[in-house]
Amino acid sequence: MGAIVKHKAFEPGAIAVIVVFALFVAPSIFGAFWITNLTQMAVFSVVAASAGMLYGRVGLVSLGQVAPYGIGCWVTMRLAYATSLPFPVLLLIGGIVAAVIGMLIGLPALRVSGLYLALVTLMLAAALETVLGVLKFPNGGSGFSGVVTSLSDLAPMRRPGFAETDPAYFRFTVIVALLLFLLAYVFLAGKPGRAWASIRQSEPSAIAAGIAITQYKLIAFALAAFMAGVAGGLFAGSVQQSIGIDQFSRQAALFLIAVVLMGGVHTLWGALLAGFFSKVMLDLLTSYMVGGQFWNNFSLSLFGFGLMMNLIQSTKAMEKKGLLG
Amino acid sequence: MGILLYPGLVLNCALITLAYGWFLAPKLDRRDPLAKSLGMVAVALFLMGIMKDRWDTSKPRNLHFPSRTFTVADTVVSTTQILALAFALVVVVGVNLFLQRTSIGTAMRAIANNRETSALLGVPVRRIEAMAWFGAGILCGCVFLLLPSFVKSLDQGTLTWFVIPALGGAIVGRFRSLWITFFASIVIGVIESFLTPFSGALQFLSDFRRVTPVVISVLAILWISRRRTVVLAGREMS
Repeated sequence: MGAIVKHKAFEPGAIAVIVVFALFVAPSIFGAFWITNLTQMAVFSVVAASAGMLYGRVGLVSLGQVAPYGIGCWVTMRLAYATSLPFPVLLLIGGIVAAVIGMLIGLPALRVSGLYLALVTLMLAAALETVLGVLKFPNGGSGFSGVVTSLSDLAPMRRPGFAETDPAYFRFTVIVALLLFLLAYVFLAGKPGRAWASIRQSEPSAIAAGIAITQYKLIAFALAAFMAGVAGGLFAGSVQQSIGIDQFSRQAALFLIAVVLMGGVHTLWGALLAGFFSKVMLDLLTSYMVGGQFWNNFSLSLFGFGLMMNLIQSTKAMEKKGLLG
Repeated sequence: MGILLYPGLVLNCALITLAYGWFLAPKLDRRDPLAKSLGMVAVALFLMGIMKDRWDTSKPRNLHFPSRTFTVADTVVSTTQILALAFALVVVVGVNLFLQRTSIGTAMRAIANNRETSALLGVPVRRIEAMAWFGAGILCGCVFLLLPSFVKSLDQGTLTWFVIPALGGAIVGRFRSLWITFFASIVIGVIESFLTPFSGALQFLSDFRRVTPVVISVLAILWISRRRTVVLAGREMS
C-alpha cells in the first residue's frame, strides 16, 4: 500500500479519479442536498488551501483568512446586482479586489510574525465583521448600494447562464477550484515556492541568501487572498440567498484554522480534507450516525477536540524527529 | 446560594483553566507560543460547542452586578464602572508586586524567560505553570462577573469574543508591560466612547467605532516594529 502511495503516478492518478468522479459521477448519483454540500466543500477547500499555504509553506499564520473570503463574496454579489458582467469576470474581479485588500492587510502584518501576526489578523477578521454589519451585508438591493429591509426581498444571486442548476453549478465550482489549486501548485513548484520554503525555514538565512522576503511575503498574501476572494464569489453563487455575516465571523475565522490544521497544512490534499471536515462530515454524522442531532449541536466541540488532538500528535511527531529543542 | 454564586462562578472559571494548565498545556509545552495559543483556541471551540447546546437563547439571561448610579459633571457613573476601573488597577499593581516580590512570581518570570533553564535550576515548572493558569482563571472569572453589566445581549458569543478587542491593549503592551496594557486599554475605551455620539456627516465615525482596537493596535505594531525584526528559534531579535 505504502509503495502505491509513494509511486510518482499515484498523485496525478488520484486527482484524475477525484475530478472524473466530481464532474461525471457525483451529479448523477447525489440529490440536491448533497450536491449543495459538495459544492460548498469545493469552495471551502480553496479557502483552506489559501490559509494552509500561508501557514504550511510560508510560515505565516493568518487567522483572518475569512476576511478576503468575505470581501470576494461581497464584491461578487454587489457586482452581480449592479452589472450584467459575466459570472467568471465577477469572480475574477472579486478575487482581484480581495488580493489588493489582502496585500494591504499584509503590509502591517509583514512587520510581525508568529503570535502577533495571528492576533493582528484575528482582530482584522473581527473588524471586517463590524464593517460588514454596518454596511448591512449582504444588502441585496439593486445597484451598487441598494439595501433590502427583509431577507425575503433579497434577490437571488445570479449564476452563470451555463450553470444555473445545482449539478451544473457544482461542476463549474469544481473546475474553478481545480484551476485555483493549479495556480497554487504553479507558485509552490516555482521560484516563489522555493523562496517561501526558505523564509519558513529561517528568515535570517533567507535574507542572507538574497531572497526579497518582503516581496515574497506580499506575493503569498496576495495569492492567498485572491484564492479566498474567488472562493467567496463561488460561495455567493452556491447559497444565492441564505447568506449572512456568520459565514465570515470571528468564530468562522477560528473554525477555519481548526479544520485547516486538522486537514494538514503541508500539502494541498489537506485542504480537500479540511473542506470535507467542514462541509460534509457533519452532515454525514448527523444523517447516518447514532446520535444524529448530537453531532450537529456539538460541532464546535468536535472541531475543538480535533484541533487539540492534532496539536498534541504533531508535537509528538516533532519530538520524535528531534525538531523541538 | 446568593452568597456562594459569585465565588462559585469564579472558582468554576479557575478550575477550567487549571484543568487545561495541568492536563493539556504540558503536552504543548515545547511548542512555540503560537501553537500554545492554538491550543487555547481548541479549548475555546470545545467550550463554545457545549455552551451553544446548553445556552437556551429563547430565555434571555443576565447577571447584573449590584450597582448604584450617580452623576459627576453631567455624566452618569455606576458603581460597577468604578469597581471595574479599581479592579483593573488592583490587578496591575497586585500582579506586578506578585511577580517581583514573591518566589512564585520570580519562578513564573524565570519560566517565561527560559523554560528549560528554569527546570534545570530546580523550578517546579509544571506546578508553577498550573498556578499561573489558575490565577488567570480567577482573574477571568472576576472580569466576567463585572462584564455582563456593560453588555446588552448576554450570550456565549458576545462573552467569548469580548477577548478580541481586549487584545488591542495587550498587543500595545506587547504582552510584557501590564501598565502599558492598562493605559492602552483605557485609551482605546475612551476613544471608542468619544466616537459614539457622532451623527450626520460624521455618523460613520460612530458606526465604525468598534474598529478602534484594531486601528490602535495596528498603528502600535507599525510603531513598535519600525525596525526590521527577524525570528530566531522562536525569539524575536531586532
